Amino acid sequence: MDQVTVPLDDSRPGAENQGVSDNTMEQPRGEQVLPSADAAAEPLSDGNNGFGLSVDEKPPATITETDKEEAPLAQPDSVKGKTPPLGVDKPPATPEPAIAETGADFGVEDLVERVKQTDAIGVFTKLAIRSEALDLIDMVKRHRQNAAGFTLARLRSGFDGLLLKVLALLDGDPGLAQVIYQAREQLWQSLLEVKV
Amino acid sequence: MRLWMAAILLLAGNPAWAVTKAEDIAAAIILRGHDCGGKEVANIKESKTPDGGQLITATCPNGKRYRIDVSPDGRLTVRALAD
Repeated sequence: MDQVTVPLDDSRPGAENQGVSDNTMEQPRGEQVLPSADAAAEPLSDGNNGFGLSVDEKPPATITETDKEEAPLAQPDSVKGKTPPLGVDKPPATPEPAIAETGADFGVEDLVERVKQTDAIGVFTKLAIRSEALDLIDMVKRHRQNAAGFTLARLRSGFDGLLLKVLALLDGDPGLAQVIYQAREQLWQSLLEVKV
Repeated sequence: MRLWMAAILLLAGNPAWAVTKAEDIAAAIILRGHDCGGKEVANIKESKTPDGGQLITATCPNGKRYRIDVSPDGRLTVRALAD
């Protein structure tokens, strides 16, 4: 079945090119008193997955075949009523970047859970990774507020740096490192879509 | 960029088995952007804070001492201590 991804809200600054899944990070963390050694292993109860990234279970909003009947896609007048040329049945769909690039869809929450469970890195390292992710989310917040210096390129640079460090740390768990590398664009999208 | 590369080189090469606390703390220090000069810290001292957090001091192979604060909600910050 063909599915067309529809961005829900493009008006928010920094929400360009996203199918927005709103979630996480707004609630104060002060309520959660976790033993520090367990904090990396315990999921937070506020919908945050503990590493700050979106854990929204909802897939991006889609339009199914049945939905299309109710909400037909707008077509330019020049196209309406005309038979498409031979070999061109429909306009090329724009696939989601992460899936298109890696060929697989990864659950961000599952990845975070695997990082929590791996023995290749210790508790304090996991807490440091989580703190780095939270710092990135703070940067996303400032980017959305159009703060000077918090450009998308700088965000991506910070994200790539953290990704490289995590991959280096996961030398003892190459399977997980590979999955994280393959899911990097999806993780990036999760970071951009996180609700702050 | 050079600091990143140094951090990545230091962080790489962990064995598949569980890491020691000394290695764990060193990795956390490096991950938070500080220079450590090796993969293991020494002179680890741990204490609890009144708010339920954790306070750790440790010495890196390069001689620098660091204070690691873990807040009750699990946020980890690293500060270099004066020599």
